[in-house]
Amino acid sequence: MIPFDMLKELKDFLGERVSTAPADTYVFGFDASIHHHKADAIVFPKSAKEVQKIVRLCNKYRVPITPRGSGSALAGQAVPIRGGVVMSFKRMNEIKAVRIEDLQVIVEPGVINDQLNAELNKYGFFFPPSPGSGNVATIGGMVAMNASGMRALKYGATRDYVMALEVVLPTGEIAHFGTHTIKDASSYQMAKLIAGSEGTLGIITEITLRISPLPKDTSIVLAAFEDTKMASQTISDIIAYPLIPASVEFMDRVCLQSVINARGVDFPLVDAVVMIELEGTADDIKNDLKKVEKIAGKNGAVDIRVSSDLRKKTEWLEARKAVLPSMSQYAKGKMFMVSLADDMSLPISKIPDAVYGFHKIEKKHEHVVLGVYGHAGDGNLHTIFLIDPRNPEAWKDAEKMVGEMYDLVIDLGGTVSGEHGIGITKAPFMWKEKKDSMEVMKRIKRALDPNDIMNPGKNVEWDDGILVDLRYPVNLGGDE
Amino acid sequence: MLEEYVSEMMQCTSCSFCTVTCPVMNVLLTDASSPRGRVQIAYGLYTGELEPDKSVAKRLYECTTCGMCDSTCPSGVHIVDVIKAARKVVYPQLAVEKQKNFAGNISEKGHTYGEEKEPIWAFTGFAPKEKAEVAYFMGCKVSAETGHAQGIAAVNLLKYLEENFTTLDEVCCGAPLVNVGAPEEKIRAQMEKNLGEIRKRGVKKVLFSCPSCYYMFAKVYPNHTDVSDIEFQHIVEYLDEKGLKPEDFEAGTEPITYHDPCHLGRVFGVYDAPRNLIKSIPNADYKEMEHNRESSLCCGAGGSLALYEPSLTKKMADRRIAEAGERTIVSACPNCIGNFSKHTKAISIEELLWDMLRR
Ligand SMILES: Cc1cc2nc3c(=O)[nH]c(=O)nc-3n(C[C@H](O)[C@H](O)[C@H](O)COP(=O)(O)OP(=O)(O)OC[C@H]3O[C@@H](n4cnc5c(N)ncnc54)[C@H](O)[C@@H]3O)c2cc1C
Ligand code: SF4
Ligand code: SF4
Repeated sequence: MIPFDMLKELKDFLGERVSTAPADTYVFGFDASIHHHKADAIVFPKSAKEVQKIVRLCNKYRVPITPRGSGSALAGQAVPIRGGVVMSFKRMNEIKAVRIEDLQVIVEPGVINDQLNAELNKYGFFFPPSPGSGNVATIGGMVAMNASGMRALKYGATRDYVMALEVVLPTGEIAHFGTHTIKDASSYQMAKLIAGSEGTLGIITEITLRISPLPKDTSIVLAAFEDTKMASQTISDIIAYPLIPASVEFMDRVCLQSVINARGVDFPLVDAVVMIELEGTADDIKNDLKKVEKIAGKNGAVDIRVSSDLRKKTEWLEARKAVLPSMSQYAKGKMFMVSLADDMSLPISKIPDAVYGFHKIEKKHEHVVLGVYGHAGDGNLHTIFLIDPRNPEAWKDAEKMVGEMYDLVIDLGGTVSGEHGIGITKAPFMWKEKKDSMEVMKRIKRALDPNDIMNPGKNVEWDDGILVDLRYPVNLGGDE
Repeated sequence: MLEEYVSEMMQCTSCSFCTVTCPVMNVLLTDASSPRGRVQIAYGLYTGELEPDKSVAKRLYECTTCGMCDSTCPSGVHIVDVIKAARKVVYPQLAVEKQKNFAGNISEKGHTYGEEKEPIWAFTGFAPKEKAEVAYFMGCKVSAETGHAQGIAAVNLLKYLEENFTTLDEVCCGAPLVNVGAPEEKIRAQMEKNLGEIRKRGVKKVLFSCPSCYYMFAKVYPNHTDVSDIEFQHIVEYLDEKGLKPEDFEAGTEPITYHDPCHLGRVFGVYDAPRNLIKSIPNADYKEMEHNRESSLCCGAGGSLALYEPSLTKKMADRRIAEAGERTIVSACPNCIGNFSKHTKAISIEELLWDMLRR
């Protein structure tokens, strides 16, 4: 509940840009995770000054704040799990300056990735991290999550592009972190610490990003395999060759079937496809293509398709990006996609063992169908769970399976999140994997946010299970 | 009401892809008024976590049923159907007076406007024939939004082509009833009257000027009854098939652009026919708007939004008008034309063609 006086003060300076309407507080209680919790109020600030005023009020009245971009987080990061205020950045969405000569762009947090790239492309530049959700993800959300995507193998993640941030701290100060220079060796890298902090350390109100020139040319190769292990082996072999393509993506049969159903795309329906994006000059691409074909052939590829046609490449890339939401179309009406163990990162050489291991675990659990895909070239896998969320047994099965899968990831030397972050759904496994880091992060969190108002009850502050505040109509007994 | 849509609602992965393409969301800038938000609200009504109240009705009615979300959704959720089903839940208690009056007029008088006494066909001056294979269904919006002009032009074009056709003693197709969430029996009553009239005259093919009427006959009526004995078509498709030749027209037009009506484009995929017709006018001064065909922006008048929130309709129209610039907007939907005409120059494609014909 928001205290009456605080609400009155909010309304005084935000007017219509604060809402406590039941429909609104209900909707802002969702993101793309399995969790849901109603907010108490939604605010739509237009400037850092307004953000500061709101934060000061929340800090004074000890009311939680959850910042929100597009609400596409997959592990509950944007769900106001303790209620309170949700702060939407939909109205702070201006590209403030494009400074090509300084290799940087300055934006407000609500700017959407694809919109930013459309603008930068006009100058022959781009902001490389390309999450599958790039059509919706806000830059604020991407920085807060350290999002990345297919091109991370060659270009890195969002954090690698953050030069400077303006941040409203939980205690209400407006702080400026980082620099507008390419190099910066000035002590603690505060901007990089905020990147990936999932809205728990402060609110980002302005972002300076480094930008890159667009590649000259690209070609895409689809290599099809009837043996998942050989497909994963191909990925390791490409990297070890050595070859660093812009992206190396992996999709198993379940994912291929779903995206073919959803979009009618001409992907081969086989046990696994490896999609490789090559870039450079025409000669570079020609040479790399020969190497890729040789490696795929040696590993028993049953079909190899290549395209440099813009329409075909876009169709394939868009289809790959739509794998996650397309999963709902795999067993339409019977099984539904739920975001569990959605993300993990492994040493590249362990990808074959992980993929094999996940499917072995899946076979033990009758209520779950598992799809595996990901940016396998940089060791980042995603798994998608299909279950009937109305069936409590399915949830129990899924919960066990998540535990077994993350045990395997940790055993193989991997980590529980490559890009989708921790939030609620992955927090217990982070504690298992990185207890030392979590303890130190908790100290940092408490130092910066003494009243625990910034996106509380998540990440380092989460020590409960994963099947909490579910958004599905199911009774799991206990607290649910 | 919503039980039927549980699977649809659970199929939503909450990816938010539909939120960035929704023209309403892009004006109001709140997730609560996005397609995903509306599906979630419907879901909350279904589970009982959300009680129907004013805020719920507001978010459900702030939608033009433009279908942009349906064509964006990678999970194949039939979002517009879910929204329409949820509107049925809120309609009895929470529909506003304007919506109720509108629905009342349809049920009592057969059409959407209040006091008019004459049957719709009378405005065209062309009385129904006893028998004909082809019929022209004018639709009450053609009358109300274009001052009958679109219907008169359509009838003139059909006469010019020497078609053996009839008008109909029609009643409102029921689209506004579906839009506001009125009870099924009211919609069925309209349907039965119209289908009775069509069959009585031995009609095998019905032509429409209004994409919403076309939608009702071709997509909604078949959910209630078998209509496989009758073919439905928008008049632009029909005219395109007949082929109007450049020599039929005077050359040159004022600067024009074409606005794709949401239902005609996104539901029926009719994009080429109107463009072919316009291009058959020699030296037409024609230019596409930035958003055209599949990505066309909604004019703001669909889904009977103007009954609920006219200011939102206006804001959406403004965005589209800015794209058209100084050009006259040509369209194939009376609702779009009526909405644009309040703020800029707009004309139906039937009127444009009829005006430009050498006759
Ligand atoms: C279909 C689909 C595909 C996806 N693919 C990828 C992928 O390939 N790679 C990837 O990395 N992720 C992916 N994601 C996850 C998600 O889209 C990204 O993490 C994205 O960056 C989130 O952006 P958002 O604007 O939706 O943020 P939200 O979900 O709204 O918020 C995410 C987190 O950021 C915080 N936050 C938002 N704005 C601010 C701010 N201004 N200041 C401080 N904190 C803030 C929130 O509190 C929350 O903790 C995918 C999600 C979906 C649904
Ligand atoms: S039908 Fe159009 S206005 Fe309605 S929710 Fe979908 S995209 Fe938005
Ligand atoms: S695009 Fe489809 S799946 Fe994604 S949020 Fe919208 S309705 Fe849900």
